[in-house]
Amino acid sequence: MDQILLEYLSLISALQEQWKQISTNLGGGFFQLAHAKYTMGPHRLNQNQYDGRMQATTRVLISQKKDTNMLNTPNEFICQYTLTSLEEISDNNEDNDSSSLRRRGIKNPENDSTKKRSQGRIIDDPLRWFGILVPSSLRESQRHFKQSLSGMINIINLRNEIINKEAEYQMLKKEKEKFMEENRMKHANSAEN
Amino acid sequence: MNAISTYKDRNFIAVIGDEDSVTGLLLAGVGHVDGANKNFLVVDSKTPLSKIEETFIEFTKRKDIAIILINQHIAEYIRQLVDDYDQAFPTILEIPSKDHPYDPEKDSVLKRVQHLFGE
Repeated sequence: MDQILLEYLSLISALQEQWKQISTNLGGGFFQLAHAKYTMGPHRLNQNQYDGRMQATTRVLISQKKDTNMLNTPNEFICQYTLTSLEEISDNNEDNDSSSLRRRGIKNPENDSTKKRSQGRIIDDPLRWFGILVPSSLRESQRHFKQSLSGMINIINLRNEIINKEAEYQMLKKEKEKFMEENRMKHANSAEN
Repeated sequence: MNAISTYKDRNFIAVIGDEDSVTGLLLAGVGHVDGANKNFLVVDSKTPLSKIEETFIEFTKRKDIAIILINQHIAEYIRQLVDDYDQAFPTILEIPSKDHPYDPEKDSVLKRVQHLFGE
């Protein structure tokens, strides 16, 4: 029980550390964004410049992680979020395609052509929405925001772990109370006898 | 198996925030537009509260969103909705914004911790 409490506390300090990092990163991102706004002029960098056909290039995958250290938790699995890119997702699909092709031993021309098309497609960088020659501060800002985003994913994972640990702790606490109660009853009975 | 199908299609990150936060996160590549469906909302002083509420509810109901990022100060406007939300997916994370830095007092996890230790 003490160990769980210790793990719980270390998770919390990790969470606080992560928040601190995100705050710095976001702060840097906002600063660079403000600088880019200053150099590009206020009307070149606002929501009207967003590309209406944008496709998410940064995505998340949710997977379940089984924690073997857990004794008896209400939910055995912790959801694990991982940051991934559009390319990885389509790569995975392509892998599946090619393995099924190999199994069959027949080349499907239709599948081949879709593969080529997806490889040939250039994945749009959101930086392009704001022009071809963007100031370096905007690039810098993008880097900061990407870092903060992965920090946010870490926070979500930590948060899930903390909530799970808490449930584990509460359960052990209840067990302990039950055990103590039983002990007290036993003592009371033996004292009566 | 059913549980797996509920989350494997969720891979977008939705954002509700002020213009700078949304621009920054879109630069990081989270934005996705599919016809009339967008996965972000820019909130400014002219955005009506009902619009924020509607968008928040819409995002929580969508089956392709894994995470909703919302600026902490905007979450304050719809505090009741955010606090009452108890689905496993999508997950909500309140993030700081340019004018409103991260406030640990309002962090839901740290609130739970305080509660656990009876403070």
